Amino acid sequence: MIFSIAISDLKLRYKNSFLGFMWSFLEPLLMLGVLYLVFTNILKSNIVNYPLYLLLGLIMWNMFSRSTSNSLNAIISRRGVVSQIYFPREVLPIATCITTFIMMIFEFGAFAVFMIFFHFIPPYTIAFLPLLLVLLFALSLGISFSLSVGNVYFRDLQYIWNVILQAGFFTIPIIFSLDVYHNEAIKKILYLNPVTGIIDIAHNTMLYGTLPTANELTYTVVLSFIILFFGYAVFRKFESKTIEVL
Amino acid sequence: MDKNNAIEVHNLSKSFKIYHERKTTLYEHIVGVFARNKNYEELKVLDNVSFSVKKGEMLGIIGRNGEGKTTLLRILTRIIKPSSGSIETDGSIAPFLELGAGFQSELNATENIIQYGIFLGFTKKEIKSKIPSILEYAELEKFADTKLKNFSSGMYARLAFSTAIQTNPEILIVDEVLSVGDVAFQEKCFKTFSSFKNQGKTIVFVTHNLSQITKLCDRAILLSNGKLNTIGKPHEVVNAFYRVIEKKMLTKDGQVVLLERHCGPHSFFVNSNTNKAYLANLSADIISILDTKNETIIKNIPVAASPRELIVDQTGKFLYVVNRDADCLTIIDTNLQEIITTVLVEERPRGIAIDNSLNRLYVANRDSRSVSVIDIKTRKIVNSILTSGQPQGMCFNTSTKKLYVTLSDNDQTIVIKDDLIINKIPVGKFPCSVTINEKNNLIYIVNRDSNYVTVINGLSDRILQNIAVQKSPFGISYDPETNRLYVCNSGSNTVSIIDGNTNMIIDTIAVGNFPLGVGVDERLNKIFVANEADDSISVINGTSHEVIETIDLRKIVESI
Repeated sequence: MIFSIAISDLKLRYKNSFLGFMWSFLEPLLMLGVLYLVFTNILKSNIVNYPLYLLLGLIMWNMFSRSTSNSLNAIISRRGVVSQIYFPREVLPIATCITTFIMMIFEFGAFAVFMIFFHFIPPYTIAFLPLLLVLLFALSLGISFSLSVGNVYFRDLQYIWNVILQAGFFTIPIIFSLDVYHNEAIKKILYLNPVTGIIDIAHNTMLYGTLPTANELTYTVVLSFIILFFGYAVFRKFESKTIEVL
Repeated sequence: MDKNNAIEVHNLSKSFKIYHERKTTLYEHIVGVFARNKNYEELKVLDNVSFSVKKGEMLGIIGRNGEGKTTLLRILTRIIKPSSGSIETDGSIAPFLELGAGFQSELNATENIIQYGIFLGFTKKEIKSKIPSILEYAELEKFADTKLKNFSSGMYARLAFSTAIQTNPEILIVDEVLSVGDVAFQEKCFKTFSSFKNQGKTIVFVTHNLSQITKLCDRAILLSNGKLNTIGKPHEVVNAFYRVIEKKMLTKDGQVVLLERHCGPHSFFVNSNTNKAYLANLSADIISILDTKNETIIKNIPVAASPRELIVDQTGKFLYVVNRDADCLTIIDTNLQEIITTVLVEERPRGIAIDNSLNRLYVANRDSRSVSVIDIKTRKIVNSILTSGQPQGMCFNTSTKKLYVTLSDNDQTIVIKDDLIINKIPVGKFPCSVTINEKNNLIYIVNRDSNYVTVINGLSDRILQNIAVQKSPFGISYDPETNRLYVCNSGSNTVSIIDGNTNMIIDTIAVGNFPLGVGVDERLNKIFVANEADDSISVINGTSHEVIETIDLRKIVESI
């Protein structure tokens, strides 16, 4: 059920477009191409493998920001079905996250194209990637759970969340590296953002072959799952009354 | 849950908060916390509704707009949760609520069928195999690849109906959807429903078309003010609906006027320990509590439809009321004077009896020809005893532990002991009420259509004699203090007083019009008679045999 909904969501996204499903691959490729041009030719950075660094961060951040912002409307946009048929409401935010997860997989396809283009051979620590993707998914889902039900009650949550996403983007090492801060305290503060840890570890393992410290890893894993369970708890608490509010 | 039932609804209530100004943004919520005044009201949409639907039954729900019909259906389909009470269902449910609300106009018919099917819980494979038959049923084969935004509203509804019907559910919950599509398609829907019914599927549907109720349904429910007003045979419920509508009427000059209502006092139960008399007003759906000392009404409690018989337990704490047209038993706390709960019994319950030693209640269900045995503590039905006729009145003999049940349609009284029928006594025509003379261990059975009271020996169950009374005797009550019996002669508007030792009539007293129920406060030696036709109570002094007071009940109807 969840997968069927996720896939039909994905189909709907590219409905009416000339190239159809091709866009799911082309879109990230073109977008990453533009960013690469801008950041490597206009703004020079001293980060090693900067284009890949940039792309990797963006892909993962996109997954997070897309799934959370799409899930704001996961229940509201399905008002018709929700008010008519009973099914576990959890399906909706989960399907939304799976849709964006699939989109991310396509983007990783585009990323692979860039790796070949730059003759980059990833280190063995790339084996961490599946774990990181699971964490990213858990984290996104946890927040999506709360947002999907929260937006039913407070419709301005969608604007607030957009602002939070904008601000969040700059606390995460996407266009810069955490190393620009020489102050350990700032790094720790930045790590409070759960996405920071995941992307930082992704950078280190996929591009530079450095393993995360046990502390970093445990912290990120625990935080992601706490958010997942907390989000689900919020969802369960408020889900039953959503229909009456809708 | 009874395995013959597809749906059971117990004490279901639902209230919504109606905001005067809806708060939808966080800002409004934050500001709202500081604003002191409560800007919403609790609206009780469903109030203590209990009923059950048998497997293979077609149940219609009627009521005016905004009486809770759709809310009830949405609770049955689990879309919304009840505020209190519970529902149990056995079998897969297909909802036919706002049809097509879940469709996406950007997708074509086939894709929408798949998505809709998925939400209904099918796998993609299952639903794909059904697409041809769905399109065929909807007569939309040519439009399989057409986007729904290009569909007409009739096509939309047809597609939705066909998709939902192909899911082959066991229970169908249908909300006024039969008004969609053209006449030919409506006809087709009806045929499908009929064939579903023949296949033993359960159908619950809401409609405003009363002829659909009488034509299609096995039973129907009338919801009024969120309460279950009447449940029963379709024509009875439709009649009840007319009564409900006619309480209010639009006059020619456009004004809404309240029509005169009938109160219909039917039966009494007097608790002389607390000097309280409880009166069931059958037509007004009200239980009146009277103070027997100064003969005034203390409180009126609105209950479910047609309260008929009532009884108070030994402790005096709880009052049990049988609601004839709501198929339930209402339990009232006599101290708080509030309804605690309702218990679902079988069809058209009439008489009630209590066994205080075993903590059991017996309810006679006329139309289902059975006696329900209810545990007082758990408030659950523990047994159902089938009877060979329509049970009417009941009485429990504490000394012999025997339960006497009159069967009004085959002129018998049956004797039940340990939930088994041990004796059948042929009595007069249409035996109705029954009571016991504890002092001499005698049972008195009132035969409405033979105009006499049959006296039975409580030990041998043999008929001792028949006491001739006046026309159409109905209610009877025993006074242990004076060892006397009082019988209401509904046809001659009198009360006969019978001596419990000699079984002779001592006196006959004229009361109000159509007396049906009687109760005695043995401490005050006062007799209370319910006059059904003129909505009044006659209070008789037990010594002087005079009517000392007549209480007019019409005021209570007006006040509610």
